[in-house]
Amino acid sequence: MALFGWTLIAAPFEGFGSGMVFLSDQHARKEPELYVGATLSHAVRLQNRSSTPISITELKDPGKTASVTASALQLRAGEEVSIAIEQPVERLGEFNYRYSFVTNEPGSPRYRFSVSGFAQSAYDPEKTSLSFGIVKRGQSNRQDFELASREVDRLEIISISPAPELLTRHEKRAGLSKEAAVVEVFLRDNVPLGLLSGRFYVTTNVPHQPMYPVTWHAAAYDDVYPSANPVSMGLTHAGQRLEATVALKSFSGQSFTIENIDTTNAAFANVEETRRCSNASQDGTCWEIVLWTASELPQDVQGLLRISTSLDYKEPVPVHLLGRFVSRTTQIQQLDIADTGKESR
Amino acid sequence: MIAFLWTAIALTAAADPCDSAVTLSWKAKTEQSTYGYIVYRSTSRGGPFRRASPIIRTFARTDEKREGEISTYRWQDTETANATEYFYYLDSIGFDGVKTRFSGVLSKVANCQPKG
Repeated sequence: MALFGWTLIAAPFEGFGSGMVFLSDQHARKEPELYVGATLSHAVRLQNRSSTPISITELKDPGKTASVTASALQLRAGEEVSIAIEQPVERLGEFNYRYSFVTNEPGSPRYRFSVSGFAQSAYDPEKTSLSFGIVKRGQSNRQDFELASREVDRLEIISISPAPELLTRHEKRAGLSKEAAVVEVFLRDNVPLGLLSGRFYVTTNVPHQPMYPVTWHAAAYDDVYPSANPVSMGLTHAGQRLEATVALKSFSGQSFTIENIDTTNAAFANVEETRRCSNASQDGTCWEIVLWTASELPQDVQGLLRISTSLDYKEPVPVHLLGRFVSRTTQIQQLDIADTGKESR
Repeated sequence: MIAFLWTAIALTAAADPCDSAVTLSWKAKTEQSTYGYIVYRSTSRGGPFRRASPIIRTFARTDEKREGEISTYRWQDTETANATEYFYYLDSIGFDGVKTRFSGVLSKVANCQPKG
């Protein structure tokens, strides 16, 4: 029974009938069960059905994730060449990768072709990110990453690579609950302050998908940490004003003062006010900084504030700012996204 | 967007009289967001369960088979030993590749019956 469908669609997209290059899909059949992380190999054959030479003047992979190479860019009359595609499949579920080429035929027709399919995960549940959240630097911050697969009798972790630059060590416990293995990840004590991220690969004994990429995130601070990072100032029309408020608190609960707000790397940002948090006790353990910016032109703004406090005066607290000004004619719609976790109608 | 409306109507099993195979059948509402089903097997009710089937594709939704109509699926497990009790359950897998538990655990003893 055919359980799995691969399709190859190959057709001149512009001016069908005027192009004289015929694309064959005879090599389109692939393995039915494809796993995330596999590299899909495929070849499309082209034939010049005209009586004159044709050249391929552009060969394009809009996704910029594949290797797409033609065996030759010149097609003599009647000649056949092939385009080889090596496409890493990194997306879970249905995928449709598209490619195109342009020839020097009259009108420079663009021919488009695509490879579509379905990628599954050998792991269950599929979870490829690990978040430490907001942490205090130097506190031996640890996160467990659990991997489970029902494709093997006992999941074993063979290696973890590359050695994560900001993670001090990793240990592994295999087969903890018969199905799962656990990778223990520790954040180095001497990481830089602010937003941190990286990726490492866990190699397991799962035959179909041995490499499992894990992207990790953390926001590390000394005693004083921001309520959000990055701080989104939102989106508005050029000529209007963006505002944001960021709160600073202390892990230790100590009172502190804000000594300096360095906007050297966020010159667009203006400090409207620095005040004690309105919803906290007025003991100086929480401060709010009200920021604003304006622009007459559509543009994205982003930068880095460095906030010195009486507690962390040696190394200021880094806070990223993001905002966007769009054209005055752009219609901005406010989306009201219900927190259903499933869908929106 | 289509809601997750699928429902495991029934998951039943029958020992094949000829070759110890266990045939699973289940009914589900035709649903646009379901790509297929995967069968898991164990020799213990508490697991561990291992994948037993490839992706069993959902039937194509056509004008004749509308959203919400009930389809019947069958899959035969031939990797069974005679007189052994097996436990099965199903995951559905969506077009986004996410697997979701679809059924409860069902047990069946694979019995090879001599041909009559």
